[in-house]
Amino acid sequence: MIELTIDGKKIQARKGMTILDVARENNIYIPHLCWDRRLKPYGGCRLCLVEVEGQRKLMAACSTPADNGMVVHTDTPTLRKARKTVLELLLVHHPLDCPICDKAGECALQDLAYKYGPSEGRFYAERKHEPEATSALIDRNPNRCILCGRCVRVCWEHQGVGAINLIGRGFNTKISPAFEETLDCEFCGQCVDACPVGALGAKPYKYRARAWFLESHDSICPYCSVGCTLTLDLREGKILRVRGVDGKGVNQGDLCGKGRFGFDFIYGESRLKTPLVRKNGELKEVSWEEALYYVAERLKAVLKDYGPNSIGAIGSARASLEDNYMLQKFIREVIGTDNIDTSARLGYAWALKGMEETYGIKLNPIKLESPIGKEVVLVLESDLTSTHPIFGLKFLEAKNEGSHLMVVEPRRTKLARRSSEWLRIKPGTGTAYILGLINFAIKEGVHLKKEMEIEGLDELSNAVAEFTPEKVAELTGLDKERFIESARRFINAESRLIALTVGAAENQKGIETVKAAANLLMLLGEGPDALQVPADYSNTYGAWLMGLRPMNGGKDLYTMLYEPGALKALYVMGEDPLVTMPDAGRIEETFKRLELLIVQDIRLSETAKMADVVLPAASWAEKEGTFINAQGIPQPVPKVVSPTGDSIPDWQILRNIARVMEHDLGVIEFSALKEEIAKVAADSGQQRWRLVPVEYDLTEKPDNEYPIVMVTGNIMQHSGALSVMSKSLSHVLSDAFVQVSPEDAERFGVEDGGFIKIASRKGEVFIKARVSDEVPEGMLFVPVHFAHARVNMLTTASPEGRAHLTAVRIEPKG
Amino acid sequence: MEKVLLKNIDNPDSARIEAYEKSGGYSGLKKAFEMEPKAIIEEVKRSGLRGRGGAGFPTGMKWDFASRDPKFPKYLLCNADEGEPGTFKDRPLLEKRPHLLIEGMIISAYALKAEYGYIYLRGEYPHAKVVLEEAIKEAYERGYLGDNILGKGVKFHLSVHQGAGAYICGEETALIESIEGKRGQPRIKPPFPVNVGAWGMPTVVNNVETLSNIPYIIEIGGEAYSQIGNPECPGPKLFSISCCVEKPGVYELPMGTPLKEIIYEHAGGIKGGRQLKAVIPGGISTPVLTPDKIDCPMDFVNLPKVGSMLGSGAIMVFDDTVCMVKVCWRAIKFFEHESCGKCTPCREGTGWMRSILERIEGGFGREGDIELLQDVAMSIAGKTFCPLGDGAANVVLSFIRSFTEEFDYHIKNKKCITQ
Amino acid sequence: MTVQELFKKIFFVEILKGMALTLSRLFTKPVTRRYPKEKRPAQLGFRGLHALVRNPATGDAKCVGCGLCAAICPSRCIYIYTSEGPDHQKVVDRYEIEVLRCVYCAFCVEACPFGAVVLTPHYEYADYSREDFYMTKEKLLENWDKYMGEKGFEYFDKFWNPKSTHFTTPEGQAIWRRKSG
Repeated sequence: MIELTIDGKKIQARKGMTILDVARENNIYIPHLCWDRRLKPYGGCRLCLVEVEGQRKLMAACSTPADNGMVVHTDTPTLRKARKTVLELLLVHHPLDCPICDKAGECALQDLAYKYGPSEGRFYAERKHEPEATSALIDRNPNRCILCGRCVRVCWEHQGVGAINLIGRGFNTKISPAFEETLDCEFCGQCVDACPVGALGAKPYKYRARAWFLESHDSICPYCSVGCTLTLDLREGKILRVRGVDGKGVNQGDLCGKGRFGFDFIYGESRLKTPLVRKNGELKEVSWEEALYYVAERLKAVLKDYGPNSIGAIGSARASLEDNYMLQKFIREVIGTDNIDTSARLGYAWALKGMEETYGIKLNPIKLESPIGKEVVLVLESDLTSTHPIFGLKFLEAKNEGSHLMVVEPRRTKLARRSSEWLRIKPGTGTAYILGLINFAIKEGVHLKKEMEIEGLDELSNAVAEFTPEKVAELTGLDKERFIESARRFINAESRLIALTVGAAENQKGIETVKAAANLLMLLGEGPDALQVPADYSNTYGAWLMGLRPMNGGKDLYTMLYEPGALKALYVMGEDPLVTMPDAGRIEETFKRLELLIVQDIRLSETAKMADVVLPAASWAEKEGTFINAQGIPQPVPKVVSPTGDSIPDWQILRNIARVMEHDLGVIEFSALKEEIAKVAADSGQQRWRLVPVEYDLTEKPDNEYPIVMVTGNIMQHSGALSVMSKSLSHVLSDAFVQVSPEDAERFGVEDGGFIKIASRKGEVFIKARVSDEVPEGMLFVPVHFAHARVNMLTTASPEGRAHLTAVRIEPKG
Repeated sequence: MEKVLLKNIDNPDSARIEAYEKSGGYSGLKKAFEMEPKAIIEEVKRSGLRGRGGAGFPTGMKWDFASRDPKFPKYLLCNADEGEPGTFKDRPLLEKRPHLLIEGMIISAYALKAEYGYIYLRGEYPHAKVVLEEAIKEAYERGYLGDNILGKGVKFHLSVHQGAGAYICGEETALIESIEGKRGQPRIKPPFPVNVGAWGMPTVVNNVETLSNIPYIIEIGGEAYSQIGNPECPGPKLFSISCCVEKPGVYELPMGTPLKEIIYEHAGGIKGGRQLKAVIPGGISTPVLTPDKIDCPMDFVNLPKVGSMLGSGAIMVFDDTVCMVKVCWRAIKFFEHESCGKCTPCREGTGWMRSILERIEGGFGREGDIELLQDVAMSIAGKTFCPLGDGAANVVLSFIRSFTEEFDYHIKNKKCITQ
Repeated sequence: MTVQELFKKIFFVEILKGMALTLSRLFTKPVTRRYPKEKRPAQLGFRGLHALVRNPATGDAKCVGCGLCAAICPSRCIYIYTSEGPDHQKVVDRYEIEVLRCVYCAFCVEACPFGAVVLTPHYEYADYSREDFYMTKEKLLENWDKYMGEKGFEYFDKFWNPKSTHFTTPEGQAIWRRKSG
């Protein structure tokens, strides 16, 4: 601890803090423009100058370390003069177009000019840069730029992208993408929040409202399971923009593109406004009363004819806790069956099962800060910066703070680009790599160091005996030396972490991957905290806790969807299995054999188009609810806008149906749900480490007929089927595509941007090709979000929870 | 005095390794390899050698800091980005005596235990690049560079990195950024490059002339070296003299040679026998001196006493036909052009100073312009991120201080006093 | 009660004084006006019906939609909706004033950086329905043509002396001249 004096106040501070840090901690105001909490000090704006006694020059508070016995003055006539001149110089070139600038009212320069600036300048000049208005979501006006460099640094240092930089020198400097091209990045919009003036703005918000017309509400992002706090800015009951507020929520103000721009799915054109009932083969608009009675009658009829076990329900990983709780209560109490599941069955459930078999625990919430401070961080075949962007940022942060970031990944993802070590394996061989590490660790005897007894060591070492470095090199396509080097680094590290996702949309990882990773960590004496597997969507974790899974021998998702005839009636709430789940052809067959398909959704999804009854539900932000994020933290989601059309919250629909069926489900409040959560959490199991042998084999192997491996997954702009409803996100990307490596493109005669035919053992689809070296030879990458592409017609599901890569062949269209 | 740095300069083959070895080259290296790295640093410390780039920081101390840092690898960078107007002292060294520099770098690297070195060469020195690369190739062939230098197990690799024409890259942290492949902008100090430099590793950045002095120090010993010139900042020094003198050029003279002697004896006096009006003693960023101060010895200690600095030792002499407003305007134009744009006062302020000076020089000056100019200069001085802004402000303030009448005359009569 | 007071009371002195004034007024010119027939011209700065200034150059409103009037309005009766136009410029789609809620403080006029909103001298706008007092952008521009027109600038500038007219380059400012080449 050190002690210094700021403005006559004696202050204790930690070593290594800058003067500005100390001042901020003690609520002493020092003006600044180029400083940002997340970034390294820059010292460019020169507004944070302070006087330090004994120093000849004025010191920049943002970059001067606080020292013991320092005497600092933050507000003296000299400083006021200096700040005034700096502002005067900044304002000379700043166009005074505040009346049309969207930043007016919340502009740092405006505030500072008001506080310190001169009322009239002694200089006059004009800048004539061309504003960029062609980019998809971010509007750049270089004339308003004050060259503080925050956008550039947040993009490179924090976000790890580096899409923009300062171009030119001295006064002619401007912020621009390379070669002054149109900005085409991942559109996270972090630069927009970082910009202190109006040089960068969000396109969807451009000229829509002035800052003082807005009212703000905090909410939780509906997309991934990180559960970021969004600050929604509304004008007259309509959400106009979303921003992150520094220090707020688990995300501390960071947001990704989906969270920032994807909110407008609630204003999508395909939103359902009234209930629909199929009459003479067509869906017709009906009143709520008619729809409810229709549903109740049909359900009763199925109950009577086939019994409760012929009815099943699929919940939603994006609906609130309350909605999901009501669904399972409806199914268990009103229908009287246990046939209930969610999309978590396809992914996250396997991660949990894997953890239970190895560590013995039933729940494993992630910790956002977990990568920070670890010596080696291994990311296994997961594009974390796309699926869980804010969690992904922590890996970049960890690397910046000195961790060794190993990325085992066939695709050149952002983490791969920014890694310390990128091991480009063949798709789906991540498990083999881990098994190789286990074998290596046992051979090296590293596991003996911790002096502990775990059962199953012999079985495991037998099972992995074949995974010698040579074998792993052959399987993964890595260099043997490189494998050994990375293995040595990983097993000899002081602290380590493995992170991976097992997503419903992904097919290159499965339960064996989780088990292998857990085995490796147990061997090295690491607890379950060293294995970070985040849940998929905003409430995947919550739906799991709420009991949206068969608990007493009911039918699970695989039975319900992939065994035609297993059910007679299916209730689908907020899920679109035809688009988001693999083997869509089989699902379609199942649906056709149902007597009753009830779909409750916010829009007319592909599944809804096949339904007998479609019930319109109020979406996120239109109803109150609670999400539990991947960290296991319940966060309230308030109602901020009124529901679209006649839609009402999901749980109310279910309660109403129950009423018609003469059951009272009552109302639910979060306080009541807490008990449920506590009950499940209490049953999360004791740690009981056990090594389990893992079999590694690809379910579908590429052969001569189908020589290429197709990997499905999420991308930066889209997540599930929700984001495609967002106009803003569709501006960036609205068309389905498949990434083809340049080698394969040449081999099969594929042109960039041309349509190709992908054929698997299940079927064939036509889709636009993007030739990109992001994927290695022999691999295709396809995002699964686009209903029009029907990529999941090609894929297979794996009821054993294994990785289920699809072998395909490609050929150019006609 | 016997020439040390420019020894053998008249030999047309002086850049070749044969000529260099013949004149006793690489003997300092062999001697240095007999010594402990620590002893070399001690020797350099004892010699009192101060950096020749402009700031005059004691080289031995810099090395000491870097060698104490336990991190490895360490880097040795040679700052050959000689971009200041009036400064061309490193050019003969680079083009005629590249092996002296290479030898100096090898010795320094050995002392610092650095394994990689870069010469950051000014973008406008294409010929020097050819010469240096040829010389490095020769040195590799003779085994002076490589994994096992002279069979002594010392590893040092050297390569030339050419800049792209930015003056700011002569600032050591901007130079490091540029070598790393980033935008040439200065970094925050502290941490200093000796602890966190290129790629986050301890890095020593030395001027060409500084490094070229090392072989001589090793050869004659620090004690003897410290007797050359002014004992407070000893050694031979290259002075580049330009503008209105009879014999402009680069002169090697002991530190502390009086300015008057340099101008009138070595450079042959003022061109055409005209009157001396002003001298800039150390490159464009140092404050200007009036004729009454030219008795001052040229070194790091005495020049500050008369309100200027030694800088890089680039002497610019102006006679009575030169318009000082125009000189000032031209100097500020340079700074405006070279300002990197990182910090506000320098980016915007230099432009405004240029603009106002342009107005005065063009005969459109207004009452109060001098005060405005001074005000802008004062708000740059001491408030910028790196010394470039200070340099620009220094020029304006010293020109106004020394030649107020001339500025006044310009404003009042709309023409120059010299016309 | 003194004798003097008693005297005054008996002889109705106060009343006589009053009646004398009344009598004298019978012979002077009336000070009241016969309002509907005879109208008094409004003084400069009179705060009557609202109008949006028409820009003679473009024919559209001068307003750029900065919203300062709406921000300062104490009765919150101004609504502005803007959007991005085809050339990426700011377009004012709707500019509406709820006249019935207005308190005629003219803060909007003072706040406007472009002198785009004014209160005209027109004060006779009684009407039959509330909707008629909901002024849209078209109605407000019409008001300008009807009640201010050309004379408006004079009326307006003389009294309000808007800040926007001072947005020029003061003498003595240094001008940035671009380098040639």
